[in-house]
Formats: sequence, C-alpha cells, structure tokens
Amino acid sequence: MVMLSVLLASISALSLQAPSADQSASAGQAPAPTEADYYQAQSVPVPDEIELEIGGVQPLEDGSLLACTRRGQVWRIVNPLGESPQFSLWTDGLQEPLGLWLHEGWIYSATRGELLRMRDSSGDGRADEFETINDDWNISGNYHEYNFGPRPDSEGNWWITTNRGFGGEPFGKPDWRGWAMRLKPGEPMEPMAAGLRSPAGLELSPWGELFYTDNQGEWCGANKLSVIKEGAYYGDPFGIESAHLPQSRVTYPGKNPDGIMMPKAHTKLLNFQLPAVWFPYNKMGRSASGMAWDRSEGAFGPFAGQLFVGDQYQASVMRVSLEKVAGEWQGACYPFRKKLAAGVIRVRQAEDGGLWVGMSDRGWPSLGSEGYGLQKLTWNGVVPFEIHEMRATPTGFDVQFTKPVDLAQQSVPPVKLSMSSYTYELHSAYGSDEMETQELTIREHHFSSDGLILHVSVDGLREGYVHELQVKDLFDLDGHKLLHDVAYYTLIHIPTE
Amino acid sequence: MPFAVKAVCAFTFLAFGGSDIAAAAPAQQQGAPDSLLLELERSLCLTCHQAPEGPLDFLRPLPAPPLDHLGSRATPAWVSDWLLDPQKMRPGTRMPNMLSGFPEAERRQVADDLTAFLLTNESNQPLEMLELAPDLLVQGERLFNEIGCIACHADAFADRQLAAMTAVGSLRDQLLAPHEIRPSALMPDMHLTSDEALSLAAWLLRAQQVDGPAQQQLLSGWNWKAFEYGGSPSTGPDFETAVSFASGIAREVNAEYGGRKNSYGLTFEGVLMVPADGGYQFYLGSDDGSSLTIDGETVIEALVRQAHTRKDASHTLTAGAHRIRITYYEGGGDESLEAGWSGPGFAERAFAADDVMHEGQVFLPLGYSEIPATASAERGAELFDKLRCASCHTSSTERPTVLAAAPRFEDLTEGQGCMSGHPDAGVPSFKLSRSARHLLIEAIANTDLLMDGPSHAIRAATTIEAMQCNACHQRDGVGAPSEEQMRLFVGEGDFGEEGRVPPALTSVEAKLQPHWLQNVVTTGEKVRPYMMTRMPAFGEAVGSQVARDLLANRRPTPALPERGFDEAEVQMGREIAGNKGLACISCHNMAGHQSAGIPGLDLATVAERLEPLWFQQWLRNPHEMRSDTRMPVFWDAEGKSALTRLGDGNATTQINALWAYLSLGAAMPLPEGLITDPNTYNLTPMDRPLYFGTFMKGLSARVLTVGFPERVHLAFDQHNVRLAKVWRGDFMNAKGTWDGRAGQLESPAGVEILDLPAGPAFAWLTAGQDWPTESGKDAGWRMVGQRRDAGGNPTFRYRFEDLQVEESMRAKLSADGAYFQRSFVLFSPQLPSGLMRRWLDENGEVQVAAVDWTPGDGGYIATIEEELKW
Repeated sequence: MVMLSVLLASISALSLQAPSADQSASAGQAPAPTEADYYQAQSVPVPDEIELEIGGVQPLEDGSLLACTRRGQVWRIVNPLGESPQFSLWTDGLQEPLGLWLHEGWIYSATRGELLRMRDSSGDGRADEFETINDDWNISGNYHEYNFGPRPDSEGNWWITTNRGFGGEPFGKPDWRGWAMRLKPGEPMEPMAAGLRSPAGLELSPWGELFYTDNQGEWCGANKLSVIKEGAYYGDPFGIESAHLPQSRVTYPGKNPDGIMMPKAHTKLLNFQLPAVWFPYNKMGRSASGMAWDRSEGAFGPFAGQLFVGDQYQASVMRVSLEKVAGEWQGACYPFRKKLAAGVIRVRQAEDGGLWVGMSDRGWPSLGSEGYGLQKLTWNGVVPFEIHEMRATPTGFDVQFTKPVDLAQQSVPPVKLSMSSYTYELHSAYGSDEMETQELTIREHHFSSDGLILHVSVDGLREGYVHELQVKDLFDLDGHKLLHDVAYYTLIHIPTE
Repeated sequence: MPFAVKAVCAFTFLAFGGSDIAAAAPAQQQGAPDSLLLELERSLCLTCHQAPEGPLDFLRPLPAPPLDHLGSRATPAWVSDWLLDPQKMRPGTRMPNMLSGFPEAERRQVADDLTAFLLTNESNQPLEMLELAPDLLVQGERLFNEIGCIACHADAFADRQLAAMTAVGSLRDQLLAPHEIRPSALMPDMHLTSDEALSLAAWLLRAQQVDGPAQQQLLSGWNWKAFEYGGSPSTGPDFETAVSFASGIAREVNAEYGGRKNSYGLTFEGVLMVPADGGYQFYLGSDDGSSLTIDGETVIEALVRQAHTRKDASHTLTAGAHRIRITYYEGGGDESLEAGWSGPGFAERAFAADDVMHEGQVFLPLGYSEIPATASAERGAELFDKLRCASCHTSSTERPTVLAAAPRFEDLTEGQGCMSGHPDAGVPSFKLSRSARHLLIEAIANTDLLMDGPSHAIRAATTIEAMQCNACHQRDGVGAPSEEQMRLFVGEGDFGEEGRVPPALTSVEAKLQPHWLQNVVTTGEKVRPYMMTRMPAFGEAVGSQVARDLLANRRPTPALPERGFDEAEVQMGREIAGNKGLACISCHNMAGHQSAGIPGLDLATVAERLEPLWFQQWLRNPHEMRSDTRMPVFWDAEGKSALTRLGDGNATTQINALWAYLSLGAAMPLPEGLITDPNTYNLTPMDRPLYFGTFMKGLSARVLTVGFPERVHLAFDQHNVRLAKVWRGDFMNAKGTWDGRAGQLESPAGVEILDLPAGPAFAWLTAGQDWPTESGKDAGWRMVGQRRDAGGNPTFRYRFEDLQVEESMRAKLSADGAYFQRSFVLFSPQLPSGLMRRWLDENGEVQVAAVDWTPGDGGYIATIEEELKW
C-alpha cells in the first residue's frame, strides 16, 4: 500500500498537462494518455495492524474521515492524505456495516440487524451513544444478508436495501430479503420495492429520486442501475413471498416465467421495472457497487451532474449519464477509471470535488492488487478527450464530446462507427448471455459545426435493448484518440421528438 | 539382534524387562527385604502362587496383554514362532516358555494349534496393509527421533521381527490406543494423531518395502507432486520439465500440499471412477492458475494469474476408469484450489477420495504365511486351557486359571515346578538367572520378613525404573538419554538444553503439587510447547501409583500461612510480570499468548502446578536448582530488586504478589506489554473492552459480544434482547466471521461458559405461571440502543412498552479470577406493580424476587446491583 501511494504520487508529480501527441496524427511516438493522466488516485497509507476492509466512507467537516469496515469497526482517519495519517478506533462491534451517513451530528449506519445512529458525545474520540432507529426485520445468520445504505431522502426518511440470502439460514427463513425499505424514525418500516438481488449501491439523485445498483446473477442478467419506485418489482423472486405480508407496498407480481426477454418481462410480471442502465458484463465490470453523483459543478472535471459507479471485481469506477424519456430514466454508461488498488465498495464525493474510494475484496475476489484500501481520485485540471454524453434521438443518438473533435482530420481516414444492440433474458440460471444481438446499420452521421456533437442516425433501434456504440479513429485537436471509445446506451423508449 | 537394555517397553508382543535386568539393578544388596520385594514385583510368582493377604498385595504383577484381538495385530507365523521360544525372540521378556515341557518334535505342532485357536477368533480384524508413501516415511523417522520413542526403543525397530509381525494399518491402530493392547501401560500413549501414527508405523515397518512381498492395488486418493514454480511468470511451471520437491497421496484436492505459500506448482493424478455413461459437469477454481484434463483431453483450463475464479465445463464420459489430471500453480498472494463434479444421480461435490483412485503398492509382513492347514483350533483351545494361559492373559470368555491348582507361595520349594532346571510339560519355563533364583529362594524362605513392605525411597526408585522415566529424565544423577539420543531431541526457540531435554526429576515430589504430578503421569499434559519430546500418558492406574510412591518419599514442608485475596496485590503482580516491571513476558508465554521474545513456559500454569515454596526458591536461586538455566536472578543476596517502585523492591513482597497474580491461572488479566496474536483472528481485549458483533451458535444472528481485559466476557443477544452468555479466558476468534464467507456461527473461545436461562431478566407473573422463555420482539421487548462509558464499559438499553431498562456490565477481579458487576436502572412512568426480577446466584441457582421501586422524576425508578459469579 505504501509503495503504491509512492508510485501514484510520482505519477501526479509528472505534469499537469496531458502528454501532447504529434499534431500530424502519426501518433505512436509519445505514449497515448491514460486514465491516470487525468484522474490521479492517491492512496491513504494504512498501518499494518489495521485491516481496512471498507464498507462505508464519511468525510467530516474538519477534513478527517470516518471509514467503517466489514469487521464492524469505524476508524477515524485524521489528515488522510498527509504524510502520516492518524488512525484511531472510533467504535467497534457493528455487524457488517456497509455504509455511513452523517446527519445532524449523528453517524447513521445500516448493519445486518438494524439501522442505528451513533455519536461521540463526550468528545474523547470514541462513540459512546448508540440508538436503534429501526430493527423491524429479522436476520437468519446467512452470510449474504447484508444491508446497504443508509441514505436519507429529501424528506428526511431513511432508506436501505437488503441483500437476498444464498445458502443456509440457520435461524430460519427471514422476511424482506431483496427489498428496498423506507425507515421513518419512530414508525414501523415500510417495504417499498421488491425483487432486488445484491443491491450494493443506494444513492439519492440531485433531483430527489433514489437509485440503486444491482449485481448480475440469478434473475439478473447483468449489473444494472435502477430507479427505486414504490411498488415496483425488480425481478429476483427470492424474497417476494413477503409481498403477501400486510406491511408490503408491493403487490405480489405473480410467478416468474423462467426464460423471457427482459423487455417483455412486464407482460408477465406486475409492476416489473426495467433498469435505467445495464452495465454489460465484463465489458463494464462485474459487480456494480456504491455510487455518487458529481455535485461539484466542475471541480471533478467535465462530468458535472453525472453519476460515478464503483465496480468491485474490476477495481474500477464507471460513469453514467441519464436522461428522462417518456417518463422513464434511461442513459448510457462509460468506462472511467480502472486500476484502483482493490475492489471498489464505496465512492463518496469530498468537499473539494474529489472522490473517496473505499475498497475491500474479502469474500468477493477483485482485480485490484491489494486486499483493501482507501484512495482519493482527483482531477488534475486537464480535460480528457471523452464521450461526454450519449443521448437518444428519434432516429438515433447524439454523441457529445468533452472537447471539439478535429474536423479537418475527419476526411482521412473517417471516423469508424459501429453499433450493435442486445438484451438479456430473465431466468433462474446465473447471469445471461447477450441475447438477440443485432449489428445495426449507421445510416448517416455528421458533426456539429463546433465539433462537439456527433449526430448518428441508425436503422433498427429497439426499445428495451442495450445499444453499444464504438467510435474508432476520432481525434481531438491535440491529436489524441478518445480515451474510451465505447458507450452502452440502454434504450427504454425512443424519443418522439 | 541389537536389542538395547532400555527397550524394555518395546512395542512388541509382551516385552517387559525381566529377570536379567533385575539382576543388574538396585537388587545388588542381596538379602535386604527391598531387593527381595523388588524381584518379587518383577517376577510373576504371585500370579499363580497365592501369598498371605496383606502387605504383599501391592506386588500384583502388571496385567499381561489380552489376546482377544491378537489376530488383528500379529501374523500366524510370528505368533507360532513366539510361542515356541519367547526368550529367544525377545531376551528379557517376562513371557515364559510354556512349551519346553513338550517333546521337542511336538512343539511346533502345539504352537501352531495354539496360534490357530488365538487367531481364528471371530472378533479379529484382518491385518490392514497400506502403502508406504515417501512423505510418510520421512515424517515417521522425524517423529521417532523427536518425540522420544528413541529414548526407550533405541534401534529396536531396525529389528525385522516387527516387520514380520504386523502390517502398517494395524500398527497405526496399536500406536493410537496402546493401553488397550497393553493394560500395563508400559507402552504409554504418545498423543499421536492418526496421521502421525500412520507415518510412524510406516517408518517402523519400512523393511517390508525392501523385502516384503508387494501387491499392486488400486487405492483411493490421488498421487500428488509439488514442483518448483519455474516456467512462465503468468502461466506457471512447465510440469514436464519442472523440478519436483515433494510428493505423496492426497485424499482431497486443495492448494496446501507441499507446504509452501508462494511460487510452487502441484499436480494431482489418478483414475476417475465414472459410475455410469452420461454427461458430467466438472468445476475447477483456483488462485492462481489450474487445468483439468481427462484421458489427455483438456476439460477446463485457466492458465492465468488470478484471484480465486471458478470455471465449469461439461464432459461426456463412459462408465469405468478414466485418467484424470489436475495441475495448479501459485505465484504470490492468496492460494486456493477447489475441484469437483456432478453427474447422473449425484449432486455437485468436491472430488471425494473414492472418486479417484491411484495405483499403489501394499506390502505384506515379512515371511507372511497363512495358518498351516495341519493346525487345529480345537486342539489349540484345549491346550490354552491346559496350559492355563488365562492366568495371565484375560479374555472375554471365562477360561480356567491356575490359581486353585498351584501351591501357595510360602509352600514353594527350591528346584520344583518352574524353579526346576527342566520344568515338566505345562509348567512355565522362565529361564531365571542365578541371582534372580537366589533372591526368590530367599524371599520364599523369609516371607515374614517382607511383611513391612519396601521403603519409600525404594518404592519411588522402583516405580521410576519400572516406568522407564529414566530414559528421558535424570533423577539424583541417574538416567537421562545418551549423548547420541540427546542430540536427536530438538526444541524450538533458543533455550539451550533446557528447551530440548525433559526436566530432571530430582526432588520432583517437592516441586510439583500432588494433583499435578499425578495428572502429568496420567495424561501426559505438557507445559513446554517448545520441547518436541512428548511426555507420554500412562493412564489412571500408573498415574496414581507413581504419585503414591513418589509422594510417600516426600519430606514434610512447613505450611505457608493462608493469604487472603487482595486485588491490589494481584495488580502489583500483574505490573511485575509486565514490560514495565520485571518483564516476565519477555521470555514467558502468558495464558496462551506468545511472549515478546522466546516462547517460554506459560506462567498461567505455574500456580496450578508448583508448590509455592519451590516457586520462591526457584525465583531467588534458579542457578542452584538448575545450573544451565537461562532464568535470570532479579534480587540480590539481601533480597532487593532494582524494581523499587513496587513493594519497595522487597523479594518476598514481590514474589508473593507474583504468586497471587499467577494464582488466577488462565483467567488472569493479561500483563502490560504483551503483544497478542498479531495477524490472527483471536480477539484479545487489552486495555479496554472490545466489541465484536456476530452470529452466535445457539443464540441468534444478532449477538454483540464484549470482551474485557479482566478476561471475563459476555454475549448480549440483541435479537432476543437479553444477556445470554458469560465466560472466562479467551474472548472470541473472529476467523469464521471475518475471513470466511459461510456465515459461520461463532462460539466463545474461552472456558467456564455460563448460559443464562432463556427469557427476560424481568417479568410479570400471574400465580403458578413459569418464567417466560421468550424475550425478543415477539414477546414485546425491543432494543433501544447502548451506551459505552469512558472506559468502554457497556450499558445495554431496552424496553418493554413504557418500562425502560438500562443494564450495565463491569468486570471485577476476585480470587476466583473475575466476575461481572451487573447493574440495572429501571424507569417506568407508572408504578409497574408486580414486576419480578430473576437472576442466578453464585451456585447457579435461579432466584426470583419482586422489584423495589422509588418515586423519581416523572415516574418510578428501581436500581439493582447483582454480582454475576459462576
């Protein structure tokens, strides 16, 4: 961990300028820029005796951090990016806390058995008061019965999502697994939505709706990002029997058909909710986790207002843009930053716009070189040449870039565009192949005069399908190719205008 | 045949140091009652010849091996040879020659008939032959030298008799339960695991591998080999050219063979036994790479450096045997390997040992032959009774003994019966030495002289000699292993000879407390983990005999004044032991935790084992008691230590304080400066309470455990809203919760676990109603939260409707270790009349009483103090 931070520090010391490539596009002399040339990852050195298997991160006003671990501890880290950060144990004994949220002087956390809040009232650096906000659900002793969150909504109610179990339930089958819960202080819990599988990320959008990420597996063809709607069913029937209980806000959707294309699932299942974005498996990670909207208005680079989503397996952070079409959220996902130290569990935006990334690979293997860790992603002020946003149009897509493309260069050779579309099957087996894949014909494309937008007309758009766009041989005015030349748009509705 | 004198408890059929050895031992002073008694004890006279009741009763001979299962451990040829002339087979054995009275030409037939009778017993198991894998032989030789076998057996097992007598599996079983075959306990229990016993047996019978008839067999398990990594950094070794550094037989597939953590490769090869034609699914998961081939065809392959990743594949197979091979390699980081299959009629499972076979060789005992066809078990049975074999060898069926027929001891005559030079048929021949014969004649003539029994000193010496304690332990300058053997004794850590060679027994009866002395001999309990030599277990009978004989020899010591429990004294002792005191923890383990330096003897065992007087003398003058000890001296001749801060530096005060502290035993609060179990999952509270939330066996999935430095701990079941368990010693091991992904149900790591009765601490009872056993949500109890005070001590908060309960737990020290002060503060806006409280008293009895309320701010308050002792 220490070595890695030295390495990353040396990268950051290189330059605040992106490496300049040869204007003549005979690129290849200078190395192509990489993600790390724009977004540096700085590691917090962790003392050897602490296993910082992070489940949640909470920045505090004084610049210190609280980080909770899967071992049930909460560490306070003072001066985290200084030369010798001070770690002190703030509390211990929590059961698998997978999130922290500061609210009115209390630290809220969702553990396996309860939503609780804690604070250090004496100021001695240790939590001394613990209050149960809600523990209306029971747990069975199944390892996978995690709870994610907590996140307050705009009305001050708390939300959590519950992971479904896998395997033995030594203390009996529990209710309410795979649900999204609203927990109003002092009131019984409200089970709002069902059919979640491993809903590892939960976040409130800037416009006040809650979204969650889910992980590929049984009944979940690929990782996904969905808006949480009261009464909605997301497809995993593991805990759906709880819909028969009086507290449920979900009407029992019927029995899952085993093998139906996702866009058709709503025809068989009441209130079935398609995701806003599919993250195609392996192409965009393997285990979507925590997320954060960029609320920094530019301090974190050119993607203000977009969503950043962690991936545990790939030790990466992905990027998502959303738009509302015909009343439903839909949008695209893009690669953003790989090669982080360990499997990403949480991302939290810091006051300065940087992203804290909390990591752990225990129980779920990851490509990261470390078992756990804490890093901060910081933009170095240089705009990378990226697809900024892919938007649906009645005839195809508009692809907006972060910088103008080199229109003069467009003639020789021209940009190479290719597009395919596919969906997933709702079935009981683990994951789904890409189904009903079609190569699409790009009828026409042209750039806006400022070089910032590529208008693409496509034959054979299909509602409910992922539309994968590859953009090759496109250069900016510095002669750089796109840092990432692919985007995956989940087209729920084709806009009419 | 090289058979060392010391090998008197040689693990062979009936071998006890007999009359020949007796002549050389303390029995030199002919005529003294002691030496007469000694000879009598060694001889078997009193088995057949009744003596006057009274003082001679203790001379009962040690029991001979029962013969019910002889066929499970010995070959026919060996038994027959043995019967023919035991003294020739094993000079010094106490087994007499029972056939010497038969005409020479008939003896073999008699021996064969007896053999047929003994070995055709229905309860016999066939001899179990197993293969001698190379890794077993290596481990067996190491154990033989290290754990102390060699001290008694020297090179006895180069003897080919053992290889002719038994088979590997059978010898393993005998080594695991020596007391069953040999109730005399002369071959003690060496605390072997099954694997250790197997490897020792393999090594002891290695002559079979060289000379024995071999049989080729399909045996369960895989052939595994471990390889140097070599090859490509990413795709691992080229197994065709890589160098193998270890091999053996594997019952299951995992990454642990070869004993390395990084930079190695493994292959597993065998024959997959496919039960039926059909499609099979295989899985293979590894960190890093692996492959699975069947009949040379690659089924699964992942030759990459990776975190643990599982791959599945289908493969169609015909019923029958198919060659299977798994390769695996590990570069760095974590290592793991899993493999298994599913198919028609069976669900997915890891490859079981019987799924895969390998070709192996088993070896028959040397010169093996079946019972001759000419032998008759019926004749053998008649002979067995006629020779009164059951006089010594007990059996499950009632057989005639000689007791009624033989003359009484005091009536024996020189030159008659077994004392004759040529005993008649049916009379045992002991081949007594001249000196032994003389001693016995003298004893018979002077029976009345013997009536006072032996002196204590001679009893102690006799016992020590009989049990071969001297093979490993020196006493009063006598005994201890030879120089050559001593070199084979090894220890871990830098202790010099003190760490390798078992301690002297000089004055052991003044050093050890009686119960501990008996315990060590009985159970072989060991307190020196760094010493590889094992103290054997001799069992209850021998243990109490040794304790009796040694303690009788003990000089009376002045009784020390009784000292009451004083918490301040205990805390002083704790400081003295810690790194700011005399730093005992620099070299001594404490209550199972590693010392800061060499892992010396655990001081938590001291007060249970040692006499306090001996402890004082040892601390003051260790070098007088053991000249080569590395134990330093802390007090000068005037009894002053450099540590003046505590107890004025006075030796007596400081040693008393240490004793008071160590008297708490394994439940002691740990001394300052001990670094507890780095990089393990043992949770050890040191300076303040430590909290660990987990699933707990028998309770619920939502349990908060709290460990205290005083080494009492608790489990509060938040699901059932009650204090559920308290215990002492170690707190918790978090491996199952923090490392695995199985949702393990944890249990306390300590001892003296008290399960509090199910149900709430408070209840309203109507007449005749039992105390409720439910206390969770369904019963109306809800968690409110918890508080932790500045020292980290917990207060659990919960409620039942309007009734609010705060339950605080504090650990307190006492002479019995520690206990909990459990305090309740109850609040209710209305007077909760009739509310009862339930608790356990010190004897574990359930007590029930009404709660007393006093009016308070806005309602009623009750405060309750309880000492939770157990």
